[in-house]
Amino acid sequence: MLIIKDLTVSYGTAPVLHKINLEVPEGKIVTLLGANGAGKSTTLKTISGLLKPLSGQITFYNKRIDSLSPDQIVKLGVSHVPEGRQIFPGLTVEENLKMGAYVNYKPREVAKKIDMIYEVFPRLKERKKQLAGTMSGGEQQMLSIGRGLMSEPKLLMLDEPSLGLAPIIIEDIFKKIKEINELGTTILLIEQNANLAFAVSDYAYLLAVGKIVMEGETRVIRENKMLLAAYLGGSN
Amino acid sequence: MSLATLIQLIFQGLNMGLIYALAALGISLIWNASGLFNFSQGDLLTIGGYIMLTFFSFLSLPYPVAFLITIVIMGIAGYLLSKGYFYPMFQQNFNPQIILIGTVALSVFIRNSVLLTWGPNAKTYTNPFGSKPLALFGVNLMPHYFWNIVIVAVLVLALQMFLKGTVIGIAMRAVAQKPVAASLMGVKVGQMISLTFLLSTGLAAISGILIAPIIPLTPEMGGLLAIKAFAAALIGGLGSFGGALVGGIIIGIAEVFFATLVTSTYKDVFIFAVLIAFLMIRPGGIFRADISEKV
Repeated sequence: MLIIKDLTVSYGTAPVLHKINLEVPEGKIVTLLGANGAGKSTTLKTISGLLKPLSGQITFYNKRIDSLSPDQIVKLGVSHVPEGRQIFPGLTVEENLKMGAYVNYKPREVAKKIDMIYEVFPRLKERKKQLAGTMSGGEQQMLSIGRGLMSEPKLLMLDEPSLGLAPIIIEDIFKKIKEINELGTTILLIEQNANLAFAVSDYAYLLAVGKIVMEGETRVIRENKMLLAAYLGGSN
Repeated sequence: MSLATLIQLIFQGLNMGLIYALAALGISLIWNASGLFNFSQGDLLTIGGYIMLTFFSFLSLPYPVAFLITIVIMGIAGYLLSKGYFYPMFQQNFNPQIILIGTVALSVFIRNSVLLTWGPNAKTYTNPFGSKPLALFGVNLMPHYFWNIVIVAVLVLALQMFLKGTVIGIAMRAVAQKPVAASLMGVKVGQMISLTFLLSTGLAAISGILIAPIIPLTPEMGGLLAIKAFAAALIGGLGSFGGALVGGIIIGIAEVFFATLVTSTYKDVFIFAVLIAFLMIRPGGIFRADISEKV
């Protein structure tokens, strides 16, 4: 559904991504692995239209999206849950969710969608009138994912949902990610923690200093421990 | 001081205070949406007053009609100003200090345009609410005191309902808090900032209209008003909705009491002394604009 061809992106004059190729098939969970500064977030930001590529193309269901604006890309069904959650701290949980449906706002449908999100994340229902900034990190991550789902995306992109969370909460979040995928949403996941990513994903790409250095089905790629350790560091 | 005088002074101070509060609200809205300190807010107020003068006094339109026309004209002007002047600077990533000077330039431009168009003399028009004081329990109060309070109260409630109850309002607050996340939601950030300018100049216009019965219009009146509105916004807590209101009212009342009880010569000096004291003791303002209070 999403195909990236020879994508090159730079900040100013410094190239961050160099001719990367990547594909996300419908219904799958694809992981983009890499160390800090490898260009993972840049990849997502370029897909969602926050950054414009220098060259190369991005197609979504055979339609070029690399020159569209973020709101047009959201409308096509790509939702980006940014790194560090980026919830609106001074809005209530419910208002945050409403913002997720901003591009196609119909009050009655939005109320239904919010109820669906509450089914996936019951915690959010308990906190619906609370200001989002006063919640715990795990709850904020749930909200950020829930908000990303409000636009009913075909492709959900998650940028390090495990960042700064306790292991027990990470486990919970990843269960939900799997659940969301089983309900029919395709997922492009960024992770630094390879084991975590391997546990849920079907296919993985390894990004190092702006280039894809390895790709393959998760069950194959996870066996290549030497190479993974070389690129991601010993902890994995 | 008798109770009657006390009540009289409170009403008088409250009236002036509400004007400062509206201007401070406009400053806070723009600060939240764009991180910009708009030095032309006071002059936008002035021009609002003069447009009202033109429609109400020169063209003899009924007060409510002239009121609405003025707000609409000023709102559109604010929108265009942001689209054509401020937003291009934001987009080019200009240094914030340069944009700040841009607002000062705009202030000077407006002030001189008013001077050229309407002349240097102070202007007043017939008080639409009547100029005969109402005697209530031995206190003489001008009818516009009550009207101003009602108008500002309705306005503040309407603004709150807009910001809290509509999708556009929520989106405006979202942009103020996390612009990048808001654009990921599909919110057009530039448009929301322009809308904020529209609201803010609309508020300036209303304060310009309401001030006319209290003080006469002069081309340079905006300067001191803006500084007091800044003081109000800072004392209340920059970026806070409630803070702008409370800050404005504090300044209005403090000013009137000082002028009456001590001397009116130094009332402006006194207000700035209050501001400096606040900045030293509580630099964040009364309602420190924390996440719960940001408009």
